[in-house]
Amino acid sequence: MNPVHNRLESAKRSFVTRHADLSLCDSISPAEMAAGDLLLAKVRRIRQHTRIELTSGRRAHLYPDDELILCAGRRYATDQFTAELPQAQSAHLVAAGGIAGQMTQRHAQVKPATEIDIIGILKDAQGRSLNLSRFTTLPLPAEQIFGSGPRTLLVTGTGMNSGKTTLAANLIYALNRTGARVAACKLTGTGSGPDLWRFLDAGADRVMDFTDAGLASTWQHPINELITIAQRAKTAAQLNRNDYLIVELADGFFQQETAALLRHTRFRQLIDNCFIAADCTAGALGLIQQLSSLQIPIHGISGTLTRAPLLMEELAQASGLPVLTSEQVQSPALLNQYLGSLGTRERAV
Amino acid sequence: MAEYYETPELGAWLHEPELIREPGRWLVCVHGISRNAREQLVAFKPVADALGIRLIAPNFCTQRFPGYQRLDQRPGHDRADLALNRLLLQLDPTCPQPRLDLFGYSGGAQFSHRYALCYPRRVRSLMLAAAGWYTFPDSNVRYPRGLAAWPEALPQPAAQARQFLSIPTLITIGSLDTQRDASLRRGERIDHQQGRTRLERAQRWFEYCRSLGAGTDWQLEQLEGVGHSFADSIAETRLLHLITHFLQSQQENS
Repeated sequence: MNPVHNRLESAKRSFVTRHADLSLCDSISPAEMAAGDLLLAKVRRIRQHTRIELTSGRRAHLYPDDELILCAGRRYATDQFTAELPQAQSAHLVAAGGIAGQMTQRHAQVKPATEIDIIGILKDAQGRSLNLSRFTTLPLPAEQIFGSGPRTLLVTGTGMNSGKTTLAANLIYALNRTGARVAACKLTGTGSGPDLWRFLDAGADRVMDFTDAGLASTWQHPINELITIAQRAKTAAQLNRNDYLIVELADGFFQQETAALLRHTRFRQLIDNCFIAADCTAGALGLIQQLSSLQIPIHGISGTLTRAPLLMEELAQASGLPVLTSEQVQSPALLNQYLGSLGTRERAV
Repeated sequence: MAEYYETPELGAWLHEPELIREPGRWLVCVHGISRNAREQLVAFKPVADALGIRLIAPNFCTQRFPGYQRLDQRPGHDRADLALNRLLLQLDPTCPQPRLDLFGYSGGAQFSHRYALCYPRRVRSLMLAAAGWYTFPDSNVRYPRGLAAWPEALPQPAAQARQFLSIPTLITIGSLDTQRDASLRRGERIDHQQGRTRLERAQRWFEYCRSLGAGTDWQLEQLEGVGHSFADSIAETRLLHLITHFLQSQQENS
């Protein structure tokens, strides 16, 4: 076997690189890195991330001098790190899904990022870098999907850890229980598996994210590219004969890609309605105002705020919108009521 | 100037007076099953102009909102209360908690008092004209005639009954609205609980609410010489005068 392949074979290969065909790799050499480039790195000092998520989803423990196959990428995570593309040999593992970046900021309650040394970029026989964009699994967008595609429910929230993925999974679970075929897509964020596993566990029969379209993370990517990914996900769901597509956006409204997507008419045309996850009343009302000003209909509010019945009542009266616990969202009959004409007319749900 | 505003979910006629005195306040006029939203808007324009508040007359179309009066929509149909709330949010996103002066005629009055049971803090005043029947704030009678077995999907009214009773309310009914016509809900239980005619039912509901503690700002007014007709109530009775006076007195009180 080629010594390069031998070396890659013994490295820990991260989740975001799962679609790449490593048999194309002919050499590993230092070079300027672009977002999505695959690279080999060595663990120098273990700090915040002590484990890495493998292509199988297993979270493997890290040890000093472990070699890792990662992807160059940026990260925007209010509860963890801000990271730019790696600029030098010395860099950081900024996400367990396998993102190599240069940490520029961190949340006060997390440790500094795990330190890595970049050995080099993976290149093919022609000297071209292996970039995630060469390994996509989503179909090209259909020319006309409006009207005949799956009913598309958007999940967005007041911020990181406000309960968006739980809400999306609950929607999937309840819709699946009605007999509907549900697809799910995490459209923005940083590549990692747990959200996708969660969607699968909830009953989605097709799960997608931006890594399927060749991005390791979406921060600072052009909005048109992200809208095209949304169209491709909707096309995939349509080809898969899904009745519903759940689209989750990472972070809060003021995150730049989230705000830009929601403001973009072409993205809003893909969406039928919206559910929001909130961690406080004021944040929820702010988000409701923003979405309403964009004419995005909100069909329900859930999230970590619903741990407090008093906050639920307060928000329901203030907004006039349904505020639902996880258990309520998981109820097929109840959810069907809130979906209205986007739901089923069968009483038996 | 009236305009028609429409979202994929709900359309409504709108009128903005030249001088808006209270930006967060809306006069909402809800039609009966004849779905005469525009007629209501035209009739109530002078009231909105006099008070300086915005006027909206939602159009709950039959196809999308076949049972809008009861709020607990059948599966696969949109809920009228939520559609109205979403529409108001989209019309004025800067005011997530508008204060509504809610008028309804016939089926619209049914919608309005049930909306107020669900969202008492959003309703500034309630004007119920010629409702065919009512939900009594009675926990011993099953929904929709009472509060027992209240639909899980609707905001729960039990804890809010006292707030509901504190909403200033004007109930009007034609003195000749005594026909048991095809659109009147009939049956042994409802006749026994509420009476046989709209006139009788309005009186009984008013008295029941008063017995629970509804205050002096609850009024029941008979419109002399008129039956079950919105047009006749506007053209031939003091309905608009009563409503203007009622709203003005609420404005002064607030």
